[in-house]
Amino acid sequence: MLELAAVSLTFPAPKGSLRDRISRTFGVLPQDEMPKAVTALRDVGIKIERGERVGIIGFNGAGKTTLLKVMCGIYAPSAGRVVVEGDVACLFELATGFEMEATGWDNILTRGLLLGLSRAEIRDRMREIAEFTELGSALDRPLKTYSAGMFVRLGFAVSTAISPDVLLLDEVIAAGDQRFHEKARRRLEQMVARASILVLVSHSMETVRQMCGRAIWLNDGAVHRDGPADEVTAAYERGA
Amino acid sequence: MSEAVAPLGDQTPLADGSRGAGTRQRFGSRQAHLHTISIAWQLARLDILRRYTATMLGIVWAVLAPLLMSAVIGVVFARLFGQDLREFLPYLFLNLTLWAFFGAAIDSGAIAFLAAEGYIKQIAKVSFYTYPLRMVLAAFITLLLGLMAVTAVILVFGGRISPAWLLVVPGLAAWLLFGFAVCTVSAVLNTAVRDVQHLQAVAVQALFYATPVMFPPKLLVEHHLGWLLTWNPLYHLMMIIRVPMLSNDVPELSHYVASGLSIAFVTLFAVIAMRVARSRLVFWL
Repeated sequence: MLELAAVSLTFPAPKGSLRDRISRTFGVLPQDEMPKAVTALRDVGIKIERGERVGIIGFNGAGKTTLLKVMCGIYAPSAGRVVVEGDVACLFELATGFEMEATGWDNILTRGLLLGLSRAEIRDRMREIAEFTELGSALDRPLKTYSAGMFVRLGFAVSTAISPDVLLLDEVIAAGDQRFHEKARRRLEQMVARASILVLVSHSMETVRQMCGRAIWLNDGAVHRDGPADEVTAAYERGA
Repeated sequence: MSEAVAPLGDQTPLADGSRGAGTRQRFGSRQAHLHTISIAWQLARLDILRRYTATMLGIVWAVLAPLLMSAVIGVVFARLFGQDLREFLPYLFLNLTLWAFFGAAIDSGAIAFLAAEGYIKQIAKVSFYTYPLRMVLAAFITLLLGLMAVTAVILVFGGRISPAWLLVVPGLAAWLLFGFAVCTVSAVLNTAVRDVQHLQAVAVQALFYATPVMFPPKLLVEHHLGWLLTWNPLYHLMMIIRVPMLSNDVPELSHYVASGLSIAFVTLFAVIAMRVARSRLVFWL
């Protein structure tokens, strides 16, 4: 179960330098050039039950990624409450956490630990992860020798080795070549199947209709529509 | 402002009684603490690797650098302070090695969260303590290596290892705790206000001159600056390592008490700072 009750999130205005503040006080810098606080989420109320697969859609800057980050605890809301039952995992961009001088194996370990797996669990899954990447002996080499596609395989393999109850996905990966793409999709689907709740942020209405039963259209930080995936995606495509 | 309840702590079992596998994180539990240390250790390991990987001598530099420094300063300052070189060089080398740990802890502390910005903004459930701990562990490994070299130098200059050296073990534990606390405070303060790093650099330099590192403690007493000794936590912390290793004796209780109080004070400061920072940190980055 995942619930957001009257959640709002405002990013504090960046602090100006002392020079800027003095300039503004003396009228040299106009007042409206002051950096402002940004309200990313306004009074968002969402309740997701076990077994639901929910897609989050909306224009760029609507607050979709911010919403995911509030759900998994990266951001604490400025107002309202977030309640989640069970293990939560959020998968955003895969670029984080790569250590260039270290080997593929070391990076698998680092990434796994950061995702919450214990060393024993990583050890158990190591072979399966390594096999999925198809990187073979490249795993013994430092990451700085890897191509972009190899990075993606490594990051994706580890990120999909976990089994959270609540899975939050943010536009995850367009993988390298075609063959890997198919494999990746299947692995992702397996991971989704293991989860009891899926929240997926996507710009692809097709993906949302395929993977989700319910969709929430977020507009300018607020919930615009919340209902069956077919209806909401259709409304989005109409522009309503 | 309301708190975010869970996922940072909620471990209510699912309706069928099972718990999710693979991402278990009981916040605040022993398991979570061990996991924090596990991550910090892995990151520290990779940090050390990265630092020395391209060099020829590798990690030998961690020992060679303070050794060379001591040799140069030692020869000059022994003459300046009228010290016997055989006693002064081990003294200086030990002091510099210990001070280097303190310097590393506080300097790397300042950037601990900044360096981990990617992790903090993309990954949930990793305790923020992980990042200062990572820095301190890397510094501590360097310290241990340095102390091995110090031991070699002590023996070369006619010192000996005795049962008193066992006191170094709790002494090092104290240093690790102190370093961790200082690192954490530095991390929080400098992430909240970036200017702190610059102020801090000056303060650490000043403290260096107010601590008997390059000169013997009695010099301060002779010049009526004994109060600097009493109120300087670094002096007491150094004494609990120095006395067993150089004099083969038990340090006075006052040093242990002063060290303990200092550690407690900074730890309290660190815990409070982290409480305040917890929900705000990600917005400071």
